[in-house]
Amino acid sequence: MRSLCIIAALTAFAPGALAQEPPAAQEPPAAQEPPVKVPPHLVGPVTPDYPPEALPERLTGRVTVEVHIAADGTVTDPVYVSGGPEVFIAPALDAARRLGFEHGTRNGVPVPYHLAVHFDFAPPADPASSGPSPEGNVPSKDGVPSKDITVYGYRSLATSETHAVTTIRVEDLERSGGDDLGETISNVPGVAMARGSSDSTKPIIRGQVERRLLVLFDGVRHESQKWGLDHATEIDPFAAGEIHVIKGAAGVRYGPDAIGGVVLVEPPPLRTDSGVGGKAQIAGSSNGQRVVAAARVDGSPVAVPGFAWRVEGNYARGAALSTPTYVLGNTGSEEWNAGTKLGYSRDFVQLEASYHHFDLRSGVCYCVQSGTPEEFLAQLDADAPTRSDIWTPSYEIGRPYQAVTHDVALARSVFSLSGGGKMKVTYAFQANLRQEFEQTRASITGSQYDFTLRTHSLDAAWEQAEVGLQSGGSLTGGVGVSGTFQENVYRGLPLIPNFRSFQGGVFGFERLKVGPVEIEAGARYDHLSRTAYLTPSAFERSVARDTLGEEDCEVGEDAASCPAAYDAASASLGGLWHVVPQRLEARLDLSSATRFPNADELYMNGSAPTFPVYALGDPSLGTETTWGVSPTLGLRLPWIEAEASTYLNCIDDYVYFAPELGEDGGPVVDVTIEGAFPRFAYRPIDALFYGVDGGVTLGPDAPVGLLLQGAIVRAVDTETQGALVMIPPDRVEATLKFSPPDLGPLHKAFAEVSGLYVFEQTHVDPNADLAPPPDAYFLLDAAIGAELPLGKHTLKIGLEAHNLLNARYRDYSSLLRYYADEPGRDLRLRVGLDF
Amino acid sequence: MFTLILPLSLLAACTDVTNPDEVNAEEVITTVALTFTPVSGGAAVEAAWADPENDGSPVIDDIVLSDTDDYTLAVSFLNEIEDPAEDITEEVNAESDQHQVFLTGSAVQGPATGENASAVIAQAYDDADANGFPIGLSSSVMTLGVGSGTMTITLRHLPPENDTPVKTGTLADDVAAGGIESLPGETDASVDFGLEVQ
Repeated sequence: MRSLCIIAALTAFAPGALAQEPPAAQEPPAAQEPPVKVPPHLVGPVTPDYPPEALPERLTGRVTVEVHIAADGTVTDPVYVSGGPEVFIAPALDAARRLGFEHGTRNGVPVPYHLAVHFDFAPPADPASSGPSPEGNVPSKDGVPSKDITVYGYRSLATSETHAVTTIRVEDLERSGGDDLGETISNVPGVAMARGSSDSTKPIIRGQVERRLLVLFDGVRHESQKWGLDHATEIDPFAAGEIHVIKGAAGVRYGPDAIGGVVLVEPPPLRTDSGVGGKAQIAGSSNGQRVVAAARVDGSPVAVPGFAWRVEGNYARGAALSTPTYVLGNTGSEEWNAGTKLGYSRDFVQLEASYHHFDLRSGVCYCVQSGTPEEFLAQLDADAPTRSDIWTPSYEIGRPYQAVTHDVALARSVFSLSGGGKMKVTYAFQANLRQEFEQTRASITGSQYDFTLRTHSLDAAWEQAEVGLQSGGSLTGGVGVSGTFQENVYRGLPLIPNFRSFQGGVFGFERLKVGPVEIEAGARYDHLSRTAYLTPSAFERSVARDTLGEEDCEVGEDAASCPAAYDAASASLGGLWHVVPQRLEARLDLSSATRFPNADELYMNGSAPTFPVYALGDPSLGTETTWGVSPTLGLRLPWIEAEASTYLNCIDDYVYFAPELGEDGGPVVDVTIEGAFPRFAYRPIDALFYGVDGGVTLGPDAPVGLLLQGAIVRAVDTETQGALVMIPPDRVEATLKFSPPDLGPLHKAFAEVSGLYVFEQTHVDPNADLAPPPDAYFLLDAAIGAELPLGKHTLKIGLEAHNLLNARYRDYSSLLRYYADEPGRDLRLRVGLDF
Repeated sequence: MFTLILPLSLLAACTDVTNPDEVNAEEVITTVALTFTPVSGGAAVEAAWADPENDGSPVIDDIVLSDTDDYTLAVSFLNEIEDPAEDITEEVNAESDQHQVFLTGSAVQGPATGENASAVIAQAYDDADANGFPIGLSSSVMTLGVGSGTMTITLRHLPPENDTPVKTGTLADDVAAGGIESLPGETDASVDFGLEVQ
């Protein structure tokens, strides 16, 4: 019996774990003070019964149940927490009552405990589709085959969040087979994707671009040159087991950059039962003739209980993409990723270490030219880029191109503390190397823009166990500290300076549960101290342009060092009201978050490589602060599920990158030897973002289901009432999905058709943009897929068609819209094997 | 016993942060220098558009030619950030099948302008690359009468795309018909001079 995973609940973490020898099983750690606590130990696995009434539709699902473990180890009072479909709730509660535990102790004395337990359900003869230990059928005692149980200490984030959250499960991640992060999450209501200058994208959440978003990979804040419009997020899409998209300011828990939203990329949990398993996938795309191959192997040796390992990697190679009428010359790309993770989990301790390498070489479209404004405007009017007739769908990647690597290594320990709380400590090191190669004279070799960003981070968090109140409610909470040391080394044509920074933060939150209502309040404080190092000539250029004064920096022989320090406070108050438990819930989030200015916003001074403007930073910029309110309503009935969320965010001193206007109201022009460029400057404005997003699913578990979703974002400068540029236009999407019962040996067969209509952006400020917005567009997608069980393995096959009508379109929030159409029709075949 | 191994090798301190380098400066063109040599002999007329610090504050010489003479024009490109200044002209000449200089503006009539009633000089290409296409580092300039106007010197870099050359023999005609923006490639330099014929 394998399907039993004991993850965080039965383990815990402490900073001392690094130095301290983990005690043997059952033996409480002696160094802990106050009392030593050993959580309950699961004795023997339990499989939930797959309900026969779910068989015709072959439903799958996950149900989370909270159990109370008495001092004698018996389980009482299992309570449904989240998940579904509904048909699985009763079997999950039944199974929870059958769970057996060796009682937990406190200073050797048996004490009661609370735990959250996940049960996954899948129909018989249907191997696991996800999770750490894909495996074959597990017949239960009464002959009804069932599936793995997973016991977690954390409740699924989505159930307790007071924000609007969307989770992308592994099934959908598999379907996205090799898409980058921006594409993968672009189906979430309220999220749009911005295509850069190559075969890569960036996410936009509720109108906020990546510098106001935080991407966490395995709990580590992803640190990169994320300010660039064509700098795609360096995340391995195959390393994700689940992705949570949190919409709205979540700065208290995740840090100052999270003022627009957070993307949590969670790797699948490590294997907890002995054995070896994994998955492999290959996929091919017609557009760009892209081929991608990926594999992951998880194992846990019998000889070392509690130890688990993972090795994963993938490779993708694509030729230049094509629009319906021409090739996007030189957009070929080559990407590979490799990663490994080790974990040890025993009693009250869990240790993890992992390493991932990301490597991307991506051609920049020949169509993206940093020409003069006259050339830029002339090509805007052209039907096709000049010379597009000579471009071929070649795999060759020539200049201009980008070469990017990202390495992240982390070590984490989680310790249980007396009182049932736990302590989590994570150290991570990241190195982000970005090189951009321009078209140059043959005598010039090497890159023209070369960025190295190294980040060390140390995070410690204590999570309090749930405490019952005399009045009947309960309290949970946590506090944490985080520290980051970062160094940026830039070598290249004048653009941004080197810098070194220290950032420290402290946060705390507390959650009160009373009956159907949960209220969470949190606060955070961060400090950033950063010194920028400019070359003497760059410093002179800044002084010449009046952005830096002689007194702002200490001028030495090799460098001018310009120190700056900032403070940021964040606070949040959120509520979750189970109006009708399991049926209707209302969430309200009130947040304030503050973001530090990035180095490019302060010190940028140069021609942007992919934009015909002269960009100028402003060292006097301070922090920007958002004040937001976002109510969310969720409904869940057997035949309909719906969620709608609306929001209003006021951002004080929002750093806006827009044309600088002179005293006469006309644009300021910078004369360089390559011509005259309009000057774009970062300047603080007061901005207001508001909108609504959500979706309705009719027949979520029926053979025929219909999903409707949409999003509206508005963003204005409150002083001028002018619309902000690059805000995603309104969009609606409808998906019709057929999920027939089993077709012969095929399981989970589906066919779906999806239509996306994106309106023309009518809220524009002609003075702040270089081109008028593109027309509205309609995209038709379709997909079919199925799974074929092969003994203990599962073969997964899918065929996806994107832009089936081969529509010509440009997207308002993409950089590419200034130069060329978006890619045309793409047919993608994928074959995967779980083993 | 389980020991957590920190990636200590990655912790090595980095000292290059505080010593920023001005690298890739070799790619920069700071100066466009023009030499008008009278056909009849005598002192050459020199003029330059120079931004030696590359900080956007160029010094631009006016050009004054004599109506009684004709000239040969040599265009050169310099990088004055380097010390001594680097002559980029040699690199352009070495890659002449990927570069071309265009003369436009109100003062000029030539291959890249077509008919121009206000012109005070007439320009003709005086050099050619291996394919027989003009380069423009050397031109002949004939004065057309007393007057003044502007002259724009554009150096266009025309690297091949998908292994297909983009420099052809008719690019000057394209500029005359549709402006510099109708050209393939990228502008390496584009500067304006005031030009007077006395």
